[in-house]
Amino acid sequence: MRLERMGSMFPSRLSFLRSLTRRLSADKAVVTRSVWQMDPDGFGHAVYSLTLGGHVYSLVAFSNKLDPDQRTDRVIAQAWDAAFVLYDGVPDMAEIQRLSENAPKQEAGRFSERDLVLSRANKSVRLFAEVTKALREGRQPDAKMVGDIGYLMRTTAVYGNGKFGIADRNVIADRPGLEGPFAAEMLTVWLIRGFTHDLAEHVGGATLDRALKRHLGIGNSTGLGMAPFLVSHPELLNNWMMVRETALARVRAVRVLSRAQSDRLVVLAERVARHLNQWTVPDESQQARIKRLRQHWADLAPQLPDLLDQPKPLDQLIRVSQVLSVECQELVVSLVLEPFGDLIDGLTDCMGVGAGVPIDPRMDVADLREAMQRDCAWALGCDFDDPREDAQFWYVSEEKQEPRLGSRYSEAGSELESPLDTARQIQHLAQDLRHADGLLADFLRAYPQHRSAARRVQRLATHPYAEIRDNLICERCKPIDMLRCKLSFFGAAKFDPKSDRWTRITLAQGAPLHDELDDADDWWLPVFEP
Amino acid sequence: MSWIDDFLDGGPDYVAERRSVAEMQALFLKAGLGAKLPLGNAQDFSGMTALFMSDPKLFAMAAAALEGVHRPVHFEGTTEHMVIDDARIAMAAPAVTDAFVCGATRVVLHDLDWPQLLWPILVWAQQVYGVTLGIHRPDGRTVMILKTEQGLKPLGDPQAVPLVPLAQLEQLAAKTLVPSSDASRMSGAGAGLQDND
Repeated sequence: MRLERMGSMFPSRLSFLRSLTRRLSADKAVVTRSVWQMDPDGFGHAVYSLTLGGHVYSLVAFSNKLDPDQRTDRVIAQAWDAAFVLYDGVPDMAEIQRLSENAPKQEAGRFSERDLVLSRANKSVRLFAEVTKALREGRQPDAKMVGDIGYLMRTTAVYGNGKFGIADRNVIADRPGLEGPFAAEMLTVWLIRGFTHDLAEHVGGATLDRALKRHLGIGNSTGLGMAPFLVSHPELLNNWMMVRETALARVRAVRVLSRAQSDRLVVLAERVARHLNQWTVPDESQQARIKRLRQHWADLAPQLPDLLDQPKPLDQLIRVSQVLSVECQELVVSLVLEPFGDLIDGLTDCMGVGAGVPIDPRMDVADLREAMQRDCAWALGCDFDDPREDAQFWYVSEEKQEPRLGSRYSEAGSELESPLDTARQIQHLAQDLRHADGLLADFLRAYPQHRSAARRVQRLATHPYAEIRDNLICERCKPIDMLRCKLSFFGAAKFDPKSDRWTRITLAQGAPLHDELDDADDWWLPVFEP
Repeated sequence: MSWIDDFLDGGPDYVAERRSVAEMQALFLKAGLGAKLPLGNAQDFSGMTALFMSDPKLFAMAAAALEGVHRPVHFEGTTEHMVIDDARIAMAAPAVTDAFVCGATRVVLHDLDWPQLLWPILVWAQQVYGVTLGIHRPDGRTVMILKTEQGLKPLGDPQAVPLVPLAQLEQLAAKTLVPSSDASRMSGAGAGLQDND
């Protein structure tokens, strides 16, 4: 699993938001808006509730006035257009009051075990103004603008698992519907999306066209914080990838397609082409990739009917795609998974993680050396005498603890770097292991600095996708590749990189609205057709 | 007197606030790194956070155990019967656990800085590796850990966190933070400072 491939991934039916909407649909979940206390300008609070797996959850939303000078998507922001809490149950007045005093402060607030997810969002100022103005004027908003921007608000953080006092993950880990990774967070963003629609209609004083509304997803700005997460949750990363690879293996093993399955794939491929034509970004590098991808897709799509008539047709399709761009290969993977829910949806139950894999100190160091040779060539091959190989360092700034990336040879602070230098750690372990013998326990008593690296090497024997097999501190490393991988598992599309360190994306575009859960699953790579 | 002596003398009604286990776990990891503990040791230590949180005194001792200088343990004996001298618990904990996983039947520790923390550490070893252990104190400076049949009694659920050791942990964790500069503010996160689009 290399950065280039991670940075080329697309959402699929295994993505967490897709799993969630399927689950909401199966549960026949009904969203109710029990509180709507908004002034005419759209400032106030609201509460939405639904029942999932026998538990009631509520989104408590606060919409606030924000000085444009303060509107930033970065971690260092101090205020936002809106703040949200996913609440366990239905909050009473006292709880809403408590949340109103804390949620708008985000990281500076304190939260309780009833609070499951904390989030905030900023408006797309242009689109929110256009939509509300149009509705006030008795017309629908400019469809092109809706199509181009695609969301009314973008979240800039969605915190779960105990952050700032909210509930630990284990509080909900066994609850039906929320067992999967980031399920509570996905539920939150899907509910927020509906809130943004309601807010625009409230301020505009009229109803948005349903097709426009369905295209309005929820945006998100994501920065460097996602990259350390993947490094510090290796078992989770492994399980996501393992499920994806298992799903792919299952569909590649299908011997013959039914006519309906073939037709479905052809229809989906046509949809992909239209989706790609609607994916346009200002970033020149990504736009060039999209242009190339469109061309490759245009070359591939006409071959589909013939390929799908062959034995093991999806295996053939995957093989044919290997000569195309990595982004096109990844798109083909998501395509071939799409019609085979019966075959692969159950695998999503395996995407979570239990207790971490402990180190096995009984291992003979000779076996560890062998494991390194087998599984860690990507680390052992780095030349750290070359300054380009450790040119960058990851760190956490004292300014609101914002994760940042620095240049080792021109910026101060590298002595405090965060331990994302996995390749270098493994190489240091290899150097000290060269002349060692005996048990790993004995080695680690003398060299305790290698405990983490030894654990990572051991883990690869059972968790082959646990490591990003690249040097994360070299000059070439682009954090955006890690961000795109994780976001694709969330279900994000329309990646809109703003630099190699942060990106905007859209979630839930084309997804069912709060009152459309009876038709919940056909929104992979949606096309805007106003 | 150090803060920990003051704290332990001042109980049992400590000023405390609820914290989630995950945020305390993250704080222990950062504090461990701030205290220059090896990464793997800091990870193991932070993995015991829920157990440290079962008692305010244990929590405070765990915070105190991170302070100061950490060196590899000095040990003698065999794999079966190990003796560790003058050990600091944050460094000795993985060595002790590893020894029992590898088949040791007895580990003796002399002059251990926080012997009380062996309880959560050995309960953790029992949870993770299934090794059941007992603690004996033959004299004031010696702790003997033996393999047993029944193991240690479990610790309780996480409690509210006492604020004094919490502040100490936050100070240690802050040592991992890089001071901000205008340059890092502008380029470190790769994003601008306003998003009014």
